[in-house]
Amino acid sequence: MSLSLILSYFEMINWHTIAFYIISIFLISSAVYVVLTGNIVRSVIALIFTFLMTAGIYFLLQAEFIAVVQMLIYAGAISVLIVFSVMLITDRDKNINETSPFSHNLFFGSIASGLFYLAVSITVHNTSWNVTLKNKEFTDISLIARGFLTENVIAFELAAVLLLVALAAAIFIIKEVKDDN
Amino acid sequence: MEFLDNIFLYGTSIIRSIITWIGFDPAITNMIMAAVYTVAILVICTLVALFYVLYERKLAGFIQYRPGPNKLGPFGLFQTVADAVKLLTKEDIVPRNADKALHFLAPLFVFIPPILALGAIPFGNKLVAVDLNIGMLYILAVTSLSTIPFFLAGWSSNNKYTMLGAMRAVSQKISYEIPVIFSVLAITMIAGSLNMSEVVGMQGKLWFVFVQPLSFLIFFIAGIAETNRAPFDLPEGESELTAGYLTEYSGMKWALFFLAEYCSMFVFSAMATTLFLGGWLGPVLPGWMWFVLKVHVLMTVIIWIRWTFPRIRVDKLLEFNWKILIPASILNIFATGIGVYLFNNFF
Amino acid sequence: MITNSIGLSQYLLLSSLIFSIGIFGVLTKKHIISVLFSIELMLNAVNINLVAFNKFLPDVFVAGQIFALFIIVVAAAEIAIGLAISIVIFRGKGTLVLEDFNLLKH
Repeated sequence: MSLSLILSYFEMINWHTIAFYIISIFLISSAVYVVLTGNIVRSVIALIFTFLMTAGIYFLLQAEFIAVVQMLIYAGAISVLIVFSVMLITDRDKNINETSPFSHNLFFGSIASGLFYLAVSITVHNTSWNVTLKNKEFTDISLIARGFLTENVIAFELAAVLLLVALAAAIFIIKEVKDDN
Repeated sequence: MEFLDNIFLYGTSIIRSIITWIGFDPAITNMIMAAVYTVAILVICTLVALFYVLYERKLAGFIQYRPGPNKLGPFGLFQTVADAVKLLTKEDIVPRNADKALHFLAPLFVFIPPILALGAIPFGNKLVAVDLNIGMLYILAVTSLSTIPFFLAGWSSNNKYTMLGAMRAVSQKISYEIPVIFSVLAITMIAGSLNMSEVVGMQGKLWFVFVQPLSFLIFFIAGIAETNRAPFDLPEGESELTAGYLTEYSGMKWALFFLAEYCSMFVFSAMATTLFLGGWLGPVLPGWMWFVLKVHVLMTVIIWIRWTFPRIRVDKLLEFNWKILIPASILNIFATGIGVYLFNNFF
Repeated sequence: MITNSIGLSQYLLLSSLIFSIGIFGVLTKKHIISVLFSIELMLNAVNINLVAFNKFLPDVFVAGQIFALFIIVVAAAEIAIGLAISIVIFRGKGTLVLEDFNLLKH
């Protein structure tokens, strides 16, 4: 096989498709690992990997701002919160699946999720989407900013209030109640 | 001078034309070029770590009025090589009850954030691996991942000292990330762009450190804390926690943590240089040389601080962040907003 | 030869697969933190959906991305409160298994 033949073979490959399948395989397998493993710390690490692979999917969808926010908030902040509480409250050698031996839950859980997936995939196949590809390189961030501060300004402010309330509430819940008696 | 300024750009364009000449199509050429950039960044990372290990020891010797390493080679230049050989041949000890896979992976993961971050930092005019239009946010995002390896190292070793070290590291890094992001936000408000090269381009007349001195100070202090340097190196405080999350690491794995610390210091200095000190801009010398010089000055200051100040207490550390740095950075953002509004409307 | 066959439906199938993995986790897990992980998986799947719609459907500009950002905000609030509640329950009952949280039953 000559070099030019190999090269022409390479030219036929669509790299977007390849990238999509590679990222999807990593994403799905790490998500499965999150729910199947018995070790909570490995579950956390797989979850962080899932977050990062989701960011990769966003990059493929040319939504690079969402991708970076996903890395910053999910992989950088939420995962650290989870990690911290895992360090505080879990028993390190305890298998988290131990308490649920092969029970009817496992059976019904797989049936329910399988049915859900079946229903959604049939719906997706039978719907004709009015698809148009937007031919732009990447999203302009100023568009997102304008969307936040014009049409969705009330929701934006409410989200800020929600975060503040969640912060205060989390601190208030966790604060140890001093028993004076 | 023009030639020296663009010497690395000429190098990459020569490599690119060679690949095109062989007959690859543009998509594959871009992929090979990406691999070339990655190798270049890895080489930079390694060189930086090796150089600053020796430099820190020499500078510490100077500060403490002793010669430092001076036996091996001229001025002790080969000391790092000897250390590397020693560490490579050391026995690699893994605790019996450790989580072996995670114990092995932690020292590898610790290198990923600095390498990813260096990809978006402009070392000179157009001398940047990927010129993202949200480069600043991207660098903040990947450096925020640097918490995870320390948690992994502390947890997988299955030891109470490593666990305490990991808890300290996680709480310190997550809290000091906030002032870093806020001080960068003030720069974004002034520059009106998240692109690193554009931010540098705007500093031609006046470096942003003169516009935002408070922001620079906050960024620098929080950066020292983020990279676990003294006086904020509590997670590995050897006098209280034996060595924190590093207790159960030996040989090359320990050395990887050690080298990664210098890499992340370099990343923080490079970020501070780009955002506040005008990046590659400067007279006479070529751009990349100015960049290296400015980063070197900042690294020297960080090392100088380490050998001058005592370590602070853990509750003081968090208090300092939550009660001083974060309120100050929020006030700074507020003042910057008013300043930008006044500047846009009245000047 | 592999052509670009990745359209909207592939992204939707991917996200529904992740969502059903999340459903499986919520239904089968007994450990409260694992259930929170599964909920995070489901929220991620929804976000993939929204961003995919944003790219492929006409006349949407950036509405999908804005909604995805709102979901990220809500997820951050949810995980903070959820973990706080689980820490408090752990303090009181010394367990993290959902079956043992039955104060209202007795």
